[in-house]
Amino acid sequence: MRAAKVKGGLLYSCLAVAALLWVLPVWWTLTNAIKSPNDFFAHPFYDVPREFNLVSNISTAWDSAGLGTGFINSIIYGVVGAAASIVIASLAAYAISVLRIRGGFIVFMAIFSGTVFPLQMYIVPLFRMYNSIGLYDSRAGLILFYTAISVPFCTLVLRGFYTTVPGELREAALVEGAGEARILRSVYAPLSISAALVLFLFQFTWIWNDLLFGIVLTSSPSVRPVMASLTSLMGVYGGSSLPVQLAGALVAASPMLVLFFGLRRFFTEGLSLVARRG
Amino acid sequence: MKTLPPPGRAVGGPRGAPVAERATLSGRHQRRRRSLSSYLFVVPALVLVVGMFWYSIVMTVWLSFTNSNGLSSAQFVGLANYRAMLSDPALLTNVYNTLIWAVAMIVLPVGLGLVAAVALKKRRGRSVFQTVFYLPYAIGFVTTGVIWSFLFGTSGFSELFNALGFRSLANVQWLNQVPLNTYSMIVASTWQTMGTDMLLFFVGLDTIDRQVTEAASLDGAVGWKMFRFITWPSLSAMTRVIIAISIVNALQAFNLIWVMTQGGPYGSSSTFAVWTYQQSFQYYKMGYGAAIAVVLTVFVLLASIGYLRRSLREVRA
Repeated sequence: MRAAKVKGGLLYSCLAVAALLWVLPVWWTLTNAIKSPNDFFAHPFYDVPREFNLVSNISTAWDSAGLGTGFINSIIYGVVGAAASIVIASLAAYAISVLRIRGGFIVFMAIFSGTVFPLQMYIVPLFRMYNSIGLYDSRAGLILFYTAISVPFCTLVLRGFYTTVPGELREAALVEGAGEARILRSVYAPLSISAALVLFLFQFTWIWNDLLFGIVLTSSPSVRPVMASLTSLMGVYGGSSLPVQLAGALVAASPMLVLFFGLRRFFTEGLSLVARRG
Repeated sequence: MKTLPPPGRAVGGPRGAPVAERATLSGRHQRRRRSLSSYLFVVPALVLVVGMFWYSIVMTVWLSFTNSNGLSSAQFVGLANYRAMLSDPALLTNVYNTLIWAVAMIVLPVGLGLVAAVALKKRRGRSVFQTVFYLPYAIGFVTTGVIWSFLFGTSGFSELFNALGFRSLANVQWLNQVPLNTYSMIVASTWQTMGTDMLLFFVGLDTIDRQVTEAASLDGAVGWKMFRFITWPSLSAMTRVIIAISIVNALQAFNLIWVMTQGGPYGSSSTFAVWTYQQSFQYYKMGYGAAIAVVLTVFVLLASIGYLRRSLREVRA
């Protein structure tokens, strides 16, 4: 018994140390994002801030390197991309698993496996294609890309979900004279709202955190997504001061943090859908 | 053996009877029209994925046999890019770093995630620890890179080591010295991904039959024995999934490296993913970049072939 207690205590101490290691980077990010540049240079980073300069740091970060614009851009990309991909995927999933179109499995595989390749396979041709059809460095281009990259996973999940909906519901609606589009909209869509919400969160997170395609498909700060702006705020060749960089990091992470603490359950569920990309 | 609950069920929702066969409607004409219009439903998804991604895959393979250098038209050069890669001194560094990333991302985040999941299972305070470890997932790789660049920079850990009296550690340039730069980024990456792996292991642990563990503990299986003979074997399916995902993600890791070192200094911390980007978009050697991407794809497909076969079987079932 006593041995078990000692063991339990030891385990908790190890976990506590690990938790501390996980929390400290966040804590230091916060405290140093609060410091004024002078305070930061005069004292070691692990000291607590002597003055509260967070608001000024955030506004400097927001205005420089287009972080503010990037932030707004990414909200648009994330919301529109995730929503549009769910709509497009639900249409495809409905045809494949409810309407059971002939060759449905092949169609599904064509959609699903389009993005199982490493992302590096897509960058060069998309860059060239976007340049030749005038989508390079445009918001529309990025929205189109983020929608497309989200479609396969949404199709996979919704296809699985729709097979769990009892077929009688659709038959009853057909008898009442509803068309397929109508049935999808007023029977299947409301039933799959929680699945759609998890998908939305999952895809929004991916789009929000993307850097690679943000820098491949755009060049001007007015179009770039938030992570690309954050990177240029850092600037390998001398960027902003560290408190401003860290304030920028906070800004860039803030929507995810709000969502994370507000909708933790959905985050965990999104994870059990498996598949991480990035 | 089941690896994971089917996606639809994981979310919770109506379950029950399988989908009914297509409702019988009279008239062949009507049926044909309906089936034609049902194909319209898949058109947007198919056009997007085929038009953007399948097109890109075919194009990248084609470009890898050309001397494409940007947007001008490219000429077929056969295997020249692949031959150039073999004699490129950067090849060895990139293969080496990519392999280190793959191995480290299996051992560290997955191993620590497993330990944390088993240790926290059925223990008080699980939700607090879970939140703490999972939080970096929400922070994302780019922001993680910014934070850890600061910590590994001159005004980060160096100051701390100095204050603690570790002079030699204080002088280390974590992101500039080989091979420390790669190891440092692996630490940051572990910080970011461990919680995710832990949560996946929680999902796996929850599927273990309670009766089995109870029976085993009555038979005297506790601690290590319980883990070795009950928990670990029951987790094997989930472990395989997590390892497969981790390898695939590690092989194409770009965001974190790009933020922290851009593969430098002098390409010393570059991986295949970074190398492709650099050749294509900094030196505009797009044919060469495409060839690197193709080689990377072969690695990724080889690494994930078992996992893909399994998930394909599940999707089909």
